[in-house]
Amino acid sequence: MSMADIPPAVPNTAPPAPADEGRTFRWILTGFALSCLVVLVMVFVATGNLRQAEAANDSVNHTQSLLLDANELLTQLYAADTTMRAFITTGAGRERSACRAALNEFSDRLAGVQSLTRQDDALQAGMTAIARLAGQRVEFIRQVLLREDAEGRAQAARQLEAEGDWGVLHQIKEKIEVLKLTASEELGRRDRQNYRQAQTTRWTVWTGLSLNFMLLAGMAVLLRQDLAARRARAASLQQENSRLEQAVELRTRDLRRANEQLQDDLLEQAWASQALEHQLSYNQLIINSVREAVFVVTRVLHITRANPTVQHLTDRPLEDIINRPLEQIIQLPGEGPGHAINAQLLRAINDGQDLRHQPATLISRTGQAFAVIVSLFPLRDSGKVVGAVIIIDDPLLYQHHHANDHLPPPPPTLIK
Amino acid sequence: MKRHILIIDDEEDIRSLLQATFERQDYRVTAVANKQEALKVARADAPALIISDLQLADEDGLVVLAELKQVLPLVPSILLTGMLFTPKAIETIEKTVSAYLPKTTRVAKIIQVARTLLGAGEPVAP
Repeated sequence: MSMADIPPAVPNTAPPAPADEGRTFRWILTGFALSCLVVLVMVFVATGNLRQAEAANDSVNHTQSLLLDANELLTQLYAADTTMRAFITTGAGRERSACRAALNEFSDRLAGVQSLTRQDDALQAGMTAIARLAGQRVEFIRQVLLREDAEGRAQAARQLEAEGDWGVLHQIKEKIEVLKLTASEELGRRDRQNYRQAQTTRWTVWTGLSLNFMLLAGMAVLLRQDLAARRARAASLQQENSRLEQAVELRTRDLRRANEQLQDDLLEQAWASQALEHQLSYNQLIINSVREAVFVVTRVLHITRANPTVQHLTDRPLEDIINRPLEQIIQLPGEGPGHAINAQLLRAINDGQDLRHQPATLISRTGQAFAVIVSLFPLRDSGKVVGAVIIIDDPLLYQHHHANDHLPPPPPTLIK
Repeated sequence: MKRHILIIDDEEDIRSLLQATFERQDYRVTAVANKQEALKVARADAPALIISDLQLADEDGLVVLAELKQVLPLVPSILLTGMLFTPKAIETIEKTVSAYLPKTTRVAKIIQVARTLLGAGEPVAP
């Protein structure tokens, strides 16, 4: 599995940005504020209407009292007048007492009715007229009674007869009827006003309730949308988290695998390194075990390897021999004037041919020259010459081998 | 349960390398330097595979493997060496050991040979 297997990122569709969340919150807050405002308006209007209704109720009660008291007023006045006439006719003391009681009652009623009409100008004007007429009638009754006290019933009867009719009482009755009519009209007006206020209250309450319901519904819709968006965002985040977790897991797995591969490679490299070192060491052991002086050279005759015999013959340490051009240690004379030193060796390497038992000169560290016999054997790698092994023949072997060949013996100066 | 491999080499570096290599492959490895230790381990905790160097400090690896073969006749063995042999010599060597590998062989190849041999052989109690 690789990074290509990681699922693609989830497109950000439903979840709103934090700015949208803020806007939704503001809308809900505004809706709540409006709802509160509507409730406050409803309470304010309803309270006002209740207050007006209470006032109207008081006024209705007031008017009802006025109507009752107006009737009673007329009744008391008639009672005073009737008992006064009965007293004048019969002379009964109880009639006189009743007359006085009726007059007192009338006076009290009149004061009450006047106070009831004080709030209304039209009623007050009517009541003033009634009071004036009633005052005249009350004064007349009192005068009749006073005359009876002073001059007797006959004189009082004559004054009563002189008065003639009941005109003032009729006028008072009419005025009271007008007052009652006016009060009734006021009562009707109040009723209508009460009805209108009740209607207004109903409308206010229902309108407020409807408005509140709509606001609440709107807020509910906003909340629902917000919740849906939050759920969608949560789901999206969950999905994204899962994707990231998967990506991290895959990446971790890849890294672990790469690390394991690296560990394997390091082991392989360490193993190859030790194998190479072992091989080099082994190769060195091989040439070290040879008694003859052995050089390993490149194609251009640079020394890459030499054995202890070389160190011994040249009196040089190994590090002074390695990488040194061969001609600084071994020199084969030129084949003629102008020919380069070691040209024979170079040609043998280039030709891939062995070159055996060639007289040469060995130069020691101090510059001393020794006559030696050298042989060259090309080194081949897959058929290609990559260098050569040069051997300074063992002088003893050389001497022994060539004794019968009438070759010149090895130089006695070879072994120091 | 992890398979047990016995490694015999007198060079500490090579022992450590081989031990790390096979432990990474989830094998249980015992690495020793000489024949005495190898025989002791073979008797106490029979390995499923023996890997030995040819040139041990005190003994020839081929001789050590031959002796171990007497103790654990069915346990396969691998001989590692830096020396080059002729085909005839290799034929002779392979009569004693299950596989012969030059030390220049890649680690992956050594593991592959070991796995093949472990699939064929089972540890046998001494």
